[in-house]
Amino acid sequence: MSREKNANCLVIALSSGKLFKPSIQLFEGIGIDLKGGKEISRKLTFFDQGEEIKFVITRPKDNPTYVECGAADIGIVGEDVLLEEKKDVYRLIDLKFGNCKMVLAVPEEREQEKYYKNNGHRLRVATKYPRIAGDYFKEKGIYVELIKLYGSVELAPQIGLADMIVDIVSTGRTLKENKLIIVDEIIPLSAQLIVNRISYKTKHKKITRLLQDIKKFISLESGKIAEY
Amino acid sequence: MNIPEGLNDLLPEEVFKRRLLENKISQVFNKWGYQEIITPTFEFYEILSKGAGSIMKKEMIKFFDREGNIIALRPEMTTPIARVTSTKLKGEPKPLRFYYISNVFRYDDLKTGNRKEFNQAGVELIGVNSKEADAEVIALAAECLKNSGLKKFFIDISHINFFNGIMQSIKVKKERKQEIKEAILNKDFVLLEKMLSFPDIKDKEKEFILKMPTLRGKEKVLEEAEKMINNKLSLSALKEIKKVYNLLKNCGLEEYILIDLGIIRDFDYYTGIIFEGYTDYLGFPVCGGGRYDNLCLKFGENLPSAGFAIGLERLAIILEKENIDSLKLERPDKYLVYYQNDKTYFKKALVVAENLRKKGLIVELEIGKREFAEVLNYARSKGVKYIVIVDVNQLSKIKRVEVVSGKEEIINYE
Repeated sequence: MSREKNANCLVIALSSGKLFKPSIQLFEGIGIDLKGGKEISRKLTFFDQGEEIKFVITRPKDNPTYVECGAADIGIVGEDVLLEEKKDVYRLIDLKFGNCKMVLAVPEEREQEKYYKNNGHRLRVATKYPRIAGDYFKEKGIYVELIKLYGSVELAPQIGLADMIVDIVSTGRTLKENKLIIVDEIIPLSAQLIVNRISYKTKHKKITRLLQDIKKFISLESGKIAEY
Repeated sequence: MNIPEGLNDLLPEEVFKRRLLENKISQVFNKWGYQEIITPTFEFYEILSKGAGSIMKKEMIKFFDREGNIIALRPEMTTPIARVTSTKLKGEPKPLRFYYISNVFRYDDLKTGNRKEFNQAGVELIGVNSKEADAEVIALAAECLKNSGLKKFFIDISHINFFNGIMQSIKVKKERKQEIKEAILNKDFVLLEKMLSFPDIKDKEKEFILKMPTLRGKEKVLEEAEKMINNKLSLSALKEIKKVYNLLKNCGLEEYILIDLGIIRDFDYYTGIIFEGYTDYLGFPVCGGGRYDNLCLKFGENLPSAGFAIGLERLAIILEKENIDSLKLERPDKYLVYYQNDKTYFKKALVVAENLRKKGLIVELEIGKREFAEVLNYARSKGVKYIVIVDVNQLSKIKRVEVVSGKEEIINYE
């Protein structure tokens, strides 16, 4: 939390895992020199060539906390985390990478019955995202029992821990392998750029310039895709 | 032996700093003619919720009393003060100037300086609706931050009707409007952009709303905004901001004040000028406030008011980040009076201690009947500067030992 040392340079929190590589590609894409990425793999923090930007690598779930507290000025974070954690930060850009979706999935053999039909007990839903899942079922008016898990959610229906799951899918392969079928798509997700509310004031010029570059880059990239 | 999460014991060193900070701020309040007010720590939830938006209602810590009434710990001080003013002080000549330094309670994320119990210093200026009143409250906030020792900070000002005017002028359904408001309140500009991509909303309006959080700076911002809008409410808000800004310039506060039309604060509560103070050193505002003309009305009195609150924990963090010594105060030297276990020595020791205290020194009397070597160790661990050794042989003289160096000298204690 040594914010004072970072008073002059911009601090960007990257999420480790799936979003990490495309995040690096994004910053290299807008012309930030990351010294060929040599340092990146070993350290939790690194600078660009000009030492104007400090990057910190966070656990995906912790990312918005760093930004909310101002330990980082900017964060690159999955929309799933943002929706689940609800932090007081500016969400400014949909980065359009890391695309996936939050879905409701049930075991194949239950697809034919109405997925909300229970067998005399309240429906149990396993998820890493109790807030998103809870909001979804509340809106549907369905009473469920949420079971919070920290990983391998698809295991839960197989061994009778839950009737269904709410989880992220990108290719859908994991679901298929575990004989699960999507019955509803709750929300599409992608990587988001968030900014600390005070940094947006105190480092306004730097942040605005960066955001403009990123927006330009994204529209160029999406143009490329459209051409194919 | 735990205490509930989010609470804190303050140990002597921290208490010392806290009181120092409180004194620095209350000095300013007093000089500006504000009087301290104390209200109960908990009240009926029904009353406290009159001043609370939906988020604050959720954040209140509630319980039942014996009769089954819902009680809540106060989440802020403005509502209790509005209650007192509208009831017990009904008919008092206005304006009323109150200040408070109190603990408040909220369920909250445990982030920096933001706990379930935290401390606020603030004022309410009640019974006047004028630009001068707005400016006074903002100037006072700046003065408090200055007097606390803070060197570099900003206070951004805006007006709630700037945003309200824009919302009124957009022609969309009521529910849609509420969604747009919520997106702005959540600072979610990705969602906002999607919502504004709606055929009923003109491109110009969309562009402008999305630009709002970047409209920040000196007077030029007002001119820029004026060109982009044409509804009466927003335009008159801009005029008010300009007047208050000019008054603050007259107060010599230009270097601290900026206009930020993107300030997002509880829309249902404020009715006029809004502002927030912040620094480079913390990712949260250190103070915030504004004009709230409708709150007292909920207690039956029409009393336009303005006020602000400073978060004391946040201010302490910022001060120490700016300058680690900013909450250190020179304290007088600490003495320990040591005497041999005997009635006559004890009497003389009391006289010695009293005389040293009269000189303004901090004096502890040895009460443990310990050997000198033991006392010396204790003194070292407690930051005692001198031990004085009392014996009866020399009348007005005593031996003084410097704890760190062991240097001895005979001093006159009278």
